[in-house]
Amino acid sequence: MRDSETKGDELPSIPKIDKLIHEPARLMIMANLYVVESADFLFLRRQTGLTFGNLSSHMSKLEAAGYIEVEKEFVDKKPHTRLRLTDRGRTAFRAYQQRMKRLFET
Amino acid sequence: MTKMSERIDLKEIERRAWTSYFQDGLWDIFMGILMLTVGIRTFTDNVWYTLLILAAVLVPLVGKKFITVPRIGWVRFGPARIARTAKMTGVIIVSVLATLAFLLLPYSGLAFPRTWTSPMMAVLIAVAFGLLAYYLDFGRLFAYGLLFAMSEVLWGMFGRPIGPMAHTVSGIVALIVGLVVLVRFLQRYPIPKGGEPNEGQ
Repeated sequence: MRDSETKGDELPSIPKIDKLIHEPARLMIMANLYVVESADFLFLRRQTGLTFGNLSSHMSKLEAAGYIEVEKEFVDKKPHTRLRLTDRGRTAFRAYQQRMKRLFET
Repeated sequence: MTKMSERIDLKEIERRAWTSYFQDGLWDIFMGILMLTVGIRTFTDNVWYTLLILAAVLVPLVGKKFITVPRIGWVRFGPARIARTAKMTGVIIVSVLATLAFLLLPYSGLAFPRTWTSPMMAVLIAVAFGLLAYYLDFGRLFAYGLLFAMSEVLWGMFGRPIGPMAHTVSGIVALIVGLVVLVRFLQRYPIPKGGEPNEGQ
């Protein structure tokens, strides 16, 4: 990076990037949930290509941040987990998109 | 991780999620049975074969529940996709009504040459399936629509047995494609075993 590019007010915007979403696996989970209303655990696994353990762990982090809502139920006596983006998650994802776009445009 | 981690295209992610429901071959099998029914029904002149259409309708309905969802999971799509599905339903309703109108027109007493029925039906089929293929994002449906329409044209031009045979052959082609796609789908997406339930955490 050239000196002239590191000057000014562009640099302070970098820390504003939501690191929770920025992680590639979580970004894929968020993007997949952003384009649908809700989906189950298996569907997300198939779409993202993540392993059971990986998806579970990232899902917990996103749930703890209030970005996704996890609903557990039993369907035909089998556990079934349904996920959807919360309003907060949707807003955070949109903000992340805009910030990333701005970051590379400026 | 898929190649999408290199570039996030939300429209493509949504389209991929939607089209994943057409990897199971059930729509192809549905179309195959439908065209086969038209062929066999007109070949034999036995009205009971029309009941095969029920079997055709049951394939995607039952198949999605017992074959597709246990393998690739469940999803509820967003408002944009639901609006597209509503338009698709509109196309189906208008097509069924138009088909009934065409079939009844020769008996209405209006000056309508019976020889027009087949070409007009063919146009209707091609347009209806073209629109369905577009709204469903499912290209093969357009090809089946063309096959169906061409069979209808042959029926109008040559009558029996060429017409029914064309429908039967078209049906068999769609059925074979559907079965091959289904077998690939079953191999690619086995049902998660006991240790990998559809639950997180």
